Amino acid sequence: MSGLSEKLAARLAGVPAYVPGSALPGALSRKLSSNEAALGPSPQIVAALQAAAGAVNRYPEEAELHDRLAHRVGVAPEQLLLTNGSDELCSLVSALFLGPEDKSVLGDPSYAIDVKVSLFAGSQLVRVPLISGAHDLPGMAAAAVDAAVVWLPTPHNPTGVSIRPAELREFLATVPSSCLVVVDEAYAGYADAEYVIDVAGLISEFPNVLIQRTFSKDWAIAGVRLGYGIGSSEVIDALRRARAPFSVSGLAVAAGMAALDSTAWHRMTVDRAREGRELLQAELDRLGIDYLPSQANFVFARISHPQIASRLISAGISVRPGENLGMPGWVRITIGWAPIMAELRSLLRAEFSTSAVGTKGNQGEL
Amino acid sequence: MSSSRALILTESLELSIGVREVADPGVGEALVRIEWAGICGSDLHVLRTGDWVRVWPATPGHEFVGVVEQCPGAEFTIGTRVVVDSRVPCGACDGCARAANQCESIGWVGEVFPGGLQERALIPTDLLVEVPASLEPELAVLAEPLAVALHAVNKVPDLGAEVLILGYGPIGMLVHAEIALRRPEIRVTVVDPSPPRRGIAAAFGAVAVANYVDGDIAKADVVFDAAGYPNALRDSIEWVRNGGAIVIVALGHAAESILPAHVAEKGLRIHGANGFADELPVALTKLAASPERFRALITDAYPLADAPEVLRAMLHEPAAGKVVFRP
Ligand SMILES: [Zn+2]
Repeated sequence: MSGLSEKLAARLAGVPAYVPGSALPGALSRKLSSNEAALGPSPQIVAALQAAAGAVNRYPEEAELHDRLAHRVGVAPEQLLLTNGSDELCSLVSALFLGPEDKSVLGDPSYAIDVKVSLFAGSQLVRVPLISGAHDLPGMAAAAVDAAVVWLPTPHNPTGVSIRPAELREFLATVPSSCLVVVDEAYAGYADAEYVIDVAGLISEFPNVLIQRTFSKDWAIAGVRLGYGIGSSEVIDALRRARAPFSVSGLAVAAGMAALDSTAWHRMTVDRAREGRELLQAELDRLGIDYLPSQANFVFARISHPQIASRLISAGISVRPGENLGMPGWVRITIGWAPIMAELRSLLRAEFSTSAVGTKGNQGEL
Repeated sequence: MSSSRALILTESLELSIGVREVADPGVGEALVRIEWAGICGSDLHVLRTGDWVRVWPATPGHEFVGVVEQCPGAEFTIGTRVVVDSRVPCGACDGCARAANQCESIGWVGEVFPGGLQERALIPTDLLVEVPASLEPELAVLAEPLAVALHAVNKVPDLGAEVLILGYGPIGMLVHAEIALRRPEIRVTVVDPSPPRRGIAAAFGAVAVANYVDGDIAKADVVFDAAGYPNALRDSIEWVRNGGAIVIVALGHAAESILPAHVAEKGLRIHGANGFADELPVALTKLAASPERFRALITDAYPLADAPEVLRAMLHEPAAGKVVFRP
């Protein structure tokens, strides 16, 4: 067995372990650590999953969802690939585009999955530190000159900072056409209109762009794993050949179809998350706490997790410590259900508001 | 005595955060530490007019959930989570002999004595109902308005196939929720001028229209008036099918003229639904059974310290859904 251990140790060298967002005992609505959708899936999705449960003896049929989604995105069916969550797309990209001779360019910090698949491919990591929570696009463009893949999440996780479409185009124009740029839009559903990318236009202008999306966030079905990639038909065809034939489950297909029918639910829940984000950012402003302007369903704030840990524990609320995300001294707060967010704002006031001390008997304070 | 940070409404209708002294409970009373308190349309009426208040300065709030902190008569164990029955019947009249909500001089918590928009309140134990352990307090705060909605829906044994809800404030939303849970196949149409409210109605599968002429409203088997706008009853009579039912749950205060012949010719049943009867424990059970059906109905939540500012704004522009405060 020792020979096996040595082999494994060599393969796993430098591969980061994933530390999932944790929940304290009690209601899951108090879990503000995994950027999950606060109001749950739409009633249509729940009904569709119940109806689909009886057919799980069948292999999944994804063609109808595939075509509907492509139509909705505004691309041809051959420019889109469904995946088992967006994580699978990362693995497919590394299998096709990365090897020991290749460079993989990432922001620092970045998604752990992007680091992991790059390391397993044996590729050389080039980490370009963020500037004020945003990608250093000139720095990444310089690193991309002889790279095979650039990983570019927008909005970024954990900072929530987004790239403007014009900046993205400018960046892509400087990247060699042989380098694949993976634009991860997991949180783009929460962004302001000025950040919305014309996907169809982008992939026709830049065939080396791959847009990565998920149904886990604004569509609220993280638990069934459904993602997709959008790119040139050449890139998508290669990814499809690399993908396992039934990697998207029948339940995911059913939930995805119902999600596309849940536009009113989607609009309501996204609006609610955006309102919650504004309220939290306004509170942080009032308390003089530094944060990065978020376009996602979370806010990254310069708060020491140990400083608020005991208050969080007594409230049963969990947030994500920056220590787990490569930015110690910060916390990432998911925009949760309105009452839990109010409790969180109360908690932050109690810790950070100077006028919170000794208000007893004062009128209209705090 | 203990002190309680509270929303204070003065007789001259000024709002602020202050401190109330709360007397120690005796037998038959409990000191409840309040976790969440909701705002109802009648609270806004009190803030505007001072109507119905019997103790000044007032602390409104009759929809709330909290934890029993002291209970000398041991009617509840310390630490029990409870909601409050908002009705304070006189206990002496003929109406009371039939049912609490038929009292000739009924009062409400928050008006007869200080209510839920404070840290702690002294409440008679016979007004407290234990919350199921599995139910989050943030949802239990909906029990009282849900009981009102259940009482309205219970007025009509057969809901038919087509229901029309006028007004999609919290009561209209809760009427919709109950109908959808009870009879998911019923087609529900909602009329409300507010786009965010129509957004919520549509998210839960209703056809939502701003007004009658815009939409294609079929004649309804049952119309719920949860709006109370001028001429809501006249519209209800027009939009209900022959032999159908109208349930008035809103407190419309504008006089309107209807033609009694229409009621007779159409063979209508018109029900008034005031408060609730025995629906409060049922409401708690329903909230515990289907939490995800109700979560989105709480649209706004704030620390109590924000209440004066938020409530002043609500007097001009109502919120989309239920607004709750955390003392
Ligand atoms: Zn009475």
